[in-house]
Amino acid sequence: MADAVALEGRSAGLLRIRRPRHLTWALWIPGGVLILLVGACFIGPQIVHIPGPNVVNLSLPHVGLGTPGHLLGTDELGRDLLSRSLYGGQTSFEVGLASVAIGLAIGGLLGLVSGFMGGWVDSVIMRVLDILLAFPSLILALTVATYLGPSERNVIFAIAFFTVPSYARVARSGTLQFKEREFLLAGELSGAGRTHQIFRHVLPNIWGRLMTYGLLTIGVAMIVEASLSFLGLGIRPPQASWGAMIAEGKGYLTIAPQISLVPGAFLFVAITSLNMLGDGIRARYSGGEAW
Amino acid sequence: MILRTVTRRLLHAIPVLLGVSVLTFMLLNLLPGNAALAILGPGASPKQIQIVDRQDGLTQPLWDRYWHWLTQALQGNLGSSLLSHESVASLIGHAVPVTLEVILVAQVVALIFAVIFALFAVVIRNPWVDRLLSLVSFGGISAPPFLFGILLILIVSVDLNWLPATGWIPLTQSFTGNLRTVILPAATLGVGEFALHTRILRGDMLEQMREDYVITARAKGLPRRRIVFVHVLRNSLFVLITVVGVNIGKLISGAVIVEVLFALPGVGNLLINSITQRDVTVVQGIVVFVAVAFVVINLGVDLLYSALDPRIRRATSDG
Amino acid sequence: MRRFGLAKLSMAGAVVALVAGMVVASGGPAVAAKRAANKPKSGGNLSIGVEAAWTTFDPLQQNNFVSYDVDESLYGSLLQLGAGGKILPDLATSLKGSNGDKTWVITLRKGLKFQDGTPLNPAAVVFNLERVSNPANDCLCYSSVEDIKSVAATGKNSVTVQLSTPDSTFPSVLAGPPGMMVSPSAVQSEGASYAQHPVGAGPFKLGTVVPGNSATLVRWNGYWNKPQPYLSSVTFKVMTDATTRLSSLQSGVIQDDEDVSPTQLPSLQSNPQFKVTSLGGVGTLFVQFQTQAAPLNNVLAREAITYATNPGQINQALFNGKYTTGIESPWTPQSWGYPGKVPGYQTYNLAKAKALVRQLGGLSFTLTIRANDPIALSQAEALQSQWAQAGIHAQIAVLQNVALIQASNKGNYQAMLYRWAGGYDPDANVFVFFLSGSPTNASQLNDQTVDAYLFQERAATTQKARKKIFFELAKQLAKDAPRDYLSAADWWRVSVSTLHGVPNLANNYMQLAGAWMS
Repeated sequence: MADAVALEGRSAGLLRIRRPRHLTWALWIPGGVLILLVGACFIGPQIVHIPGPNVVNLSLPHVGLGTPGHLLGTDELGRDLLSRSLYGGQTSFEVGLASVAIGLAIGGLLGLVSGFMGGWVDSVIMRVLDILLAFPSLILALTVATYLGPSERNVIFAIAFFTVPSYARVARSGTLQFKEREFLLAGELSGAGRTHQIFRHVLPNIWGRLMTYGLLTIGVAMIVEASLSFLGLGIRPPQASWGAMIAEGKGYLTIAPQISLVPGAFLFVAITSLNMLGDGIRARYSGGEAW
Repeated sequence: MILRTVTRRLLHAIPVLLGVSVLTFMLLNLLPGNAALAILGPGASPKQIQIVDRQDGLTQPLWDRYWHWLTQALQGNLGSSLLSHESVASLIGHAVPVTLEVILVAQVVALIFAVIFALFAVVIRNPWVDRLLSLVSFGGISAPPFLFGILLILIVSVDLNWLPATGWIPLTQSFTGNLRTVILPAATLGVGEFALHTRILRGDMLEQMREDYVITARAKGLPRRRIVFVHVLRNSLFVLITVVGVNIGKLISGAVIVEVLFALPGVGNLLINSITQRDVTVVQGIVVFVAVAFVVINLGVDLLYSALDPRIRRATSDG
Repeated sequence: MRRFGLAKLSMAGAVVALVAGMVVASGGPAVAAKRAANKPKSGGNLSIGVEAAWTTFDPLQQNNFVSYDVDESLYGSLLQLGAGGKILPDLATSLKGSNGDKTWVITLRKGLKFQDGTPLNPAAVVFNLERVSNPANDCLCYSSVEDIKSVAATGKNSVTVQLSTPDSTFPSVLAGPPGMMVSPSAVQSEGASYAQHPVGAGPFKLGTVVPGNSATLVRWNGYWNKPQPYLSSVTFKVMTDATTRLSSLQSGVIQDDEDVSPTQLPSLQSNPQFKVTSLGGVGTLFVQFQTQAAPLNNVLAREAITYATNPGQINQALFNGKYTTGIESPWTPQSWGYPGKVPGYQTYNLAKAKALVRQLGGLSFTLTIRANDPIALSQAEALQSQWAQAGIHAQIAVLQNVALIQASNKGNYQAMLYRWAGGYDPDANVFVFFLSGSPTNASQLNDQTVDAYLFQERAATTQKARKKIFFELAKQLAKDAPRDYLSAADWWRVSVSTLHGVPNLANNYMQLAGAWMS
């Protein structure tokens, strides 16, 4: 969320494109790592033969890294940690993407309408969103997740729910800026409908800003998913997600730390890449330095 | 002028706070189970459950309970815990200093280190040092707090046995004891902050180095270091003020995780326990308290920012 | 159906079999025997990691495990629960029943005082027993004292209690919350805030409290059993998370972890700094079935699941074989009601399970477990995979503790992983759980034969006769298959090796008067 803040502050120069050479690397390195990781998670299990993520082998509990047949070891139930990490990655990416997509769609639309219509519509929408914003995000997600109960779908809803206000704010401020522009005035003169104007003119102009913001929040969403799992409110077992795996390994930390640390490493690399990529894109559009 | 802004903002806050309290109340009462079950545990008879429900006032209709809570809260009485029967104000009063200390220590240490590291990066101007620093700060931003905390506990407490893994010794009891208990939680919470501040500060300082006033100053023959330390750093710190303000929400969320992990008697832990045990009055009290704090802090930051901004910020500012 | 109640349940020593006219010799707890070899030393501060917050310091509202531990240190009790469920003297030196167990005479220790100086005399005992048995006070222990008809001081040190019905379990009632004596003058002066300012006659008095987080009790010099207590202070620190408790023990924040899971034991047992006490357990761990709702209202389905469960394998893989397995009834080897193997019980047999599933045409259901419990989660996942081998498809649902209790109370579940800490008397593990219509009969079993055995068992007077009935009951329960037993609910307590003098109770209650540190 914090990155997003920095971003929002600077993105006024969206169209001012400067492109120092190392910026290319700033995009390619994390992008490449991310593509590799996503590929490994979604395609890997199809090509390479590994045990299923939920295949329990009670005769091989928590073996260490490098065991033949279990490259990254097994967890307390003898399940292959590589397989669980890859399938868990699918869940984590799905949660990240889907919750951001939902939050973006709802929040973006609310922000657009709010900014475009102004007046009492704006006031009402923004006041309601302020209520959500005044809750610390994790607390909101926690309450919603407790209410809905653990499952991948519900975690997605819980996370999407609390991201709505921030997307709405980004979309609204973008809309307000473009509202001043003359083509809107021109549009109004030509009598085009309001809906038409929003989708024809305003949306394309704030699209880039929303997408960059979204990219940055995917990482945040994945961390929230992990945090919810850590607090016992994540997905439905035995499905794997990186956060759920870390939480499950907590009971075995002193005798088999790999159960938590292997998915922890995956999560860490993924989030780092996402953040670097987001920052690279920001730098590319707004000028200035990347990492 | 300022007085008007403050009044307007505070007036706006009233419906927000009302909404927050209604939402919390509804959400909590939608959750399955209630405080009586948390108190009595499994195996209690319906009669016992009824006794506790009656003591807690849970037999009254929802709306009456909210109205009762609201009228009491407006008179400054947040009620008492359904579980321990302690007053909510005293529960929060005990918890706030802990959370506040962890957040403050984390924030202050993060800021100090961030300034040092960012200055180092800008002054040294070695691309490799710079990139390494960036990588480290990215790692810091990206490490989920509980993961970093687990690592710290495993290494510093369990393996090396340097610092206690959990618990809290208040400052009033022992200074060194307090220090020993605050280090790991503050480090866990602070690492992300440090990384974020370093990155923002460094980025902003580098950006400013290209600004006209710096170019003019250099043309006048002022040494680069002096410009960096005196002018650029001072200007860039204002960017940080906003970030710190907006980050309060994130810090509170982070504090929840950190307090659970390190078993600290702070607001976060109190909140989680109260949610899981359906201690509605305590949750209600905390959420409203946090929301008020949030409004006040944001207002403070905005005022500070607008007081400093117009003369100091450069013309090309973000607006 | 005399007494459904928490007091009856949580007070493990519902010792019906204890001789009615019990006369106990005076003298300190059993710990004293060891004193000659290793002389207790005064001083030292003990911090105990406990898994839940106490809810009150007033025995009137006492309801959980941790409250019991704290109150025991603050108040002591008229009688005390000892190892194996024996009832020992404490504030009272004896309790005698007569008139067919309808009249009980409490003989009080001489010269007792509360921590505020108020004398603990027969009048104070009368005040206390009237306080808990007055329905207006809503004591959570009410169901265990509602048959008190009158209480009167009948001598310089004696109090006579008249019951409305004969009750051989009365000694165990006075070893629980109703036996914890509060200072009458403190109750009168504090009023509603008494629960925050308790005054008892136990070895420790209340020091500083951080609500919901820690409670420090400090040594009281006026304790009757001098030179006890030895410890200068005892702090109960709430640490709900097992990992947190363990790392706190290892880094010296606490000196005693009241509940260590077997997965954590390997790192501790090799370390001479720590002392692992295996307390055993008088309760059991099991999968509980909702016998009145589809699909598990079909006894064949319940049998199939139980046949498909291999508790030994789970115990080996997850817990290094630490738990006591081979449990086929509601009792464990530490209970005198333990029948061992039960004829007719569905001991692991995959072929039979498969055959039953074929006969049923498939079987799928949901297993509900408690959130935030990594051990329960791995158990559930292991069970899921064992059941899958028999063609049984189980889904896992996770509920927060309160929601789980609600689902259990309302019968709103299909199968549930359940841990019952149990009681010393075998009755505590069956009566309220299997009697038709009992509100705590969560499996909603409705079997006249079972009910008949339960009433017979309560009416029987000798332990031998009761044990025989318990065996018959176990066989009948195996036919009904309301539960799939995994293991005993064993406890492990880990403390620093310098802590001595804490009696080992299989229900894991803590008595700290005789505790000391070397």
